[in-house]
Amino acid sequence: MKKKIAIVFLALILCVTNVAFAGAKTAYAANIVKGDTAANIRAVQTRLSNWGYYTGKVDGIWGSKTLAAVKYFQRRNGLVADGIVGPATEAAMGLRLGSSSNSPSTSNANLNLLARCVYAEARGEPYIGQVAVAAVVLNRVKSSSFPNSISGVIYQPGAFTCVSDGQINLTPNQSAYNAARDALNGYDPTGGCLYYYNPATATSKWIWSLKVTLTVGRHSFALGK
Amino acid sequence: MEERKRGIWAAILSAVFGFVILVGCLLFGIFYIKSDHEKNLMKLESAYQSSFYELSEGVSSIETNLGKMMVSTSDTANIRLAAENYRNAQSALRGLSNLPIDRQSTASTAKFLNQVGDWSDSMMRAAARGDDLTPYRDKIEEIYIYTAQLNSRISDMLALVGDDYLIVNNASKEKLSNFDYNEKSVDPSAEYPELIYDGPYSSAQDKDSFGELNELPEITETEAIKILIDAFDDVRNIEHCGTGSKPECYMFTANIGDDQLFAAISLHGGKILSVETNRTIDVARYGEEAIARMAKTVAVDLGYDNLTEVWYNEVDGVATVSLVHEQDGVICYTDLVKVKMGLDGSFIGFEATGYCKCHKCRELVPVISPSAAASSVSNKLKIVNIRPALIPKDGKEVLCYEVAATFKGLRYFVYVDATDGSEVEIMRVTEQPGQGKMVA
Repeated sequence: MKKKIAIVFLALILCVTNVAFAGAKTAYAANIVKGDTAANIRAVQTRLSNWGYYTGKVDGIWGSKTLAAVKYFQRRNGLVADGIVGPATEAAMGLRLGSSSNSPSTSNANLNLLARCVYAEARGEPYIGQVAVAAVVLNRVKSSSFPNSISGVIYQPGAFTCVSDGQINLTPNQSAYNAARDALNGYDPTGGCLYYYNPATATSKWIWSLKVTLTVGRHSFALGK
Repeated sequence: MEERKRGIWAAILSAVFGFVILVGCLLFGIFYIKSDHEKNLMKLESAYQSSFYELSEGVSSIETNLGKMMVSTSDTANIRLAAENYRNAQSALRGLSNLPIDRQSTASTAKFLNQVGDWSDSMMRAAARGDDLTPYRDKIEEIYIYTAQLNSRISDMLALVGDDYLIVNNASKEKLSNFDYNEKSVDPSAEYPELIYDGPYSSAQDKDSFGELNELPEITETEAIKILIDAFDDVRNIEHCGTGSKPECYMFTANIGDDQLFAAISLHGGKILSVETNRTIDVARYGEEAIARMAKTVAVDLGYDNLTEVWYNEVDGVATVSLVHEQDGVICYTDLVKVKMGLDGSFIGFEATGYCKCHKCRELVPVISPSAAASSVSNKLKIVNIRPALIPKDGKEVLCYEVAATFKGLRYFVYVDATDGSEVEIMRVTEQPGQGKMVA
């Protein structure tokens, strides 16, 4: 059954051209947008671009096109057209701009949920172990034997202990976000595993019957029967 | 004396009164908590029962619709019923996945429902293309029989629902998880038919093929370690930590500089499939062009050449450069390599499983011209670039023209079949704050 996540996977696999649309470059702006960061400027440019107010490059650079687009947006939305993205303009854009460029991105629901699962299940594990946990979730999404969405897989009753004990609601750190992003980007260090468990705490007889193909940190990974 | 007695009695009465109040409060508290607990249990039970009914209704509707499809001679009616079955299968799956039943008990049923929905979707797409629907019609009866059996088992289970907290208390958990056709079966998937069709959950997709890679000679673990050492001069403390199966590979952990490294090397041919380090980036020194050049060099050093950069994405100081094989001027998105570089120029990660799975020498000759492809896309689009491209589609490779275009500031890629000019896929470029560009 096809669904949005499958399309995203396909899209990630396809990774289409950038000949026509050049990529972003790193730059930092003056005190015009809250937080002074290229990430914030990119966020503003992205939103304005998606809504048709901005036609320039999403490059994190505060240029005249960006300024004009912000003013245009402000005029169209009954705001003071001063070109400054203050709280009112930020709210009108539906953005929550971060105060630091290092703050994790949380605008994507799937990334956010996957990062929460990784943090709750594998914080303290080596980085690759965190990517592996995220990859298991995504392998399940792709498998016909599991629900077809990241949220469906994570919240499947009894599937993850972090959901049962509420740790899924902890705030993930940057490492968890990076691991989730790597897995979403197609990196699967497990080689297709659908299960993992901690041998020190697992009590299910069934899970012990699975053939372990990989051990990273405290987790054993298995393909499943 | 009298006063003392009165004082004692007053103290006793006060103590008794206080005790009664305390016991009363305690009983009220217990009653309140129990009542609240009961309410929550009832809510949970209701949610589970709702899921069960959703599953039951979904499967029952599929059975009814398949029954109609078996005797219908109208393609229009069949397509409408297939569309309904797609929705019903999704609904049934949602219900099934929300039930508090062991995953291993429901895996085969989930797979069957996924395939029924996927098969229905595939049938609709085949009809839209004008393909012959006979292969689909031939399967309807078989799918109907298995759906009817599943519906019957679910109906039996449904008869149990309604008792007090039946699902929450797991009172009849074993009976409720009786989804498998034969409970004693070792391989639950054997209970349902193998469905081969044109879709992502087709049984054919389960059989991952690494064609040409698997034809290469096997290497030993020692040889794999040597390959890793040859690729990374400063790698040390290499330890074998597991094996992978898609494709078969050795997995190693190691140290590189002050960082950790994880690598997968294929059993056949000793190809470096993936490498990941936990390096963090503090400084951005290079721009896109320099980073893309470095990424290409890394890919060549790791044994992958003749690649063209097709996508560059940058998040939190880390750039992911996507490179694909180019043959006869055709970019092959099927043969994909991704290189992760820090903007300080350091190597962070590498992934080439897609390349190893798909790469082979192909005959790639477009039938129609680029201008014919351009005339196939919507005239609303402003075309920016056209080039031939091989794309993966439902487990197959399709030779297309990739038409990069814009419409009202939105960016699109339209893939036009290079044989007949039909539209195969449309992708839209989106950008999430802090996450870079994506196509969806």
